[in-house]
Amino acid sequence: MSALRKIATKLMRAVLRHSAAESYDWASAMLRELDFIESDWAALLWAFGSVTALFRRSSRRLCALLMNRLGHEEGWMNDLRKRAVGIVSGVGIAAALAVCVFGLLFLASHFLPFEDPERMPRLAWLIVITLPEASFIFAAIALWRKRRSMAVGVLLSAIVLATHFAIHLATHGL
Amino acid sequence: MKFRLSPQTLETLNTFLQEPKDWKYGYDISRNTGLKSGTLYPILMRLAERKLLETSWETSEPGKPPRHLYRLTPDGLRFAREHRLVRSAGHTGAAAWSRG
Repeated sequence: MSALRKIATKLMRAVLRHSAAESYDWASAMLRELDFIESDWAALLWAFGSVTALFRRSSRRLCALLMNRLGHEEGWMNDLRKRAVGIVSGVGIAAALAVCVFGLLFLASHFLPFEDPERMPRLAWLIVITLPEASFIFAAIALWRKRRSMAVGVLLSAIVLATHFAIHLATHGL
Repeated sequence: MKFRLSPQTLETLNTFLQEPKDWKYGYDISRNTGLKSGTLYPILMRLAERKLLETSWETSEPGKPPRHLYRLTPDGLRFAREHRLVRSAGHTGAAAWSRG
């Protein structure tokens, strides 16, 4: 066996040893064909071509695997984006509700006797916090089934408002 | 699924169509088509993946490793005949796209 043919055979055997399970048959087939190639140079070129073909196959499979994985990650990112948009929309809804409720309270203050905050009774303060909180909770319940992320956004706003009220109570009292 | 019908793929399919029922060796296909192993085997792999080509192992010589054989499946034959007709009618340029 000439040196060229030895190189070709060794190269193919090395590739066969390291080939993936799905390429093993093809690598074996290419190696076996070497025995039927008359010219040594042709055998070496056959081996180089075979290695290239197997390498391309493996890299194509790897690319497909990576693309598949990236596709999953992209789907996860899209899901996350949708949820974030939902939560932000929920906060927007809560803000709109709060504006409506406080607007109604502001209008009501012209007709009710607690227009002066210094003299505002505890009941009035409770209305100021209870009404928006109640509206947030109703909105969250209404949205929970079909627009869960929006409902979460509304609930977050309710928690922020409640926390703000609690801090206000703790620092200023009623 | 799209399947790229390059001139080399068409040449390989035509080689199989010469004796459609006979099994062929890789090196013989390479000699008939003039394609190097680096071009021929990816074509054979793609055809086999799409079930257009069937493969088999020949164990004629005892003590020797088996040799790989290739033949078009019935689907592959139909596909090759369709595209041979397309090519002979002059509808295919350097490369064509088809659904395999």
